[in-house]
Amino acid sequence: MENKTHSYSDMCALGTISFKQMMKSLVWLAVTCALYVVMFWLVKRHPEWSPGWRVVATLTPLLPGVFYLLSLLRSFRAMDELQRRIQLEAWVFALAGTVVVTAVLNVLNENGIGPAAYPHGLQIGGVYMTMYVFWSLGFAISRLRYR
Amino acid sequence: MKNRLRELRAERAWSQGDLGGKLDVSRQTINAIETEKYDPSLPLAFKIARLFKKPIEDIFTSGD
Repeated sequence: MENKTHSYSDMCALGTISFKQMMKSLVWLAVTCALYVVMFWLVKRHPEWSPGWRVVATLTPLLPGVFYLLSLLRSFRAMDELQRRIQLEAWVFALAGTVVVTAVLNVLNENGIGPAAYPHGLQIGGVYMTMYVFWSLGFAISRLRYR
Repeated sequence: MKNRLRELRAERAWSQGDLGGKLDVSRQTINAIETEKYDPSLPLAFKIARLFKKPIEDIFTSGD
């Protein structure tokens, strides 16, 4: 390894995004999750609201969610070509891994031998967690490959 | 694909970070190209050739 410089190169660790960009994405994710919890609670607490209002309230977290997606896209565009490849490989690994886990759980449940903790397969939270685990694994493997 | 990036960079006494800065890529990308773990895209290969004022085929050769 060579000496480090304080250039663009320093900002980008292998396959990662700059701290500032990461924080922006995390803030939008936190706002989305917080709004989701608040709106979920409000809609449950106010059954008298009209269906229209309930739909609007339920979909409100989509707005910061869109900003979260945009900030992720911006981070992706700021990466150089190797970093993009590492991210792409990590996402493919996450997607394929999640599909396999979901399919296996589904087959096990169909045959009545599924794990007791997942009687209906993976719920949405389980899908997020599985994707995150596989993304982390894929990221680590890809990062090692190009180190 | 084989390349002479490390040699050309060393001739100019540039660090991987210096070269990364000139090419707008990370130091790790330069390292991956030099160690031949990663083949650059055609636009990046042209950029490298322009920077070193050499034809692409002088820098990158087939690994066969």
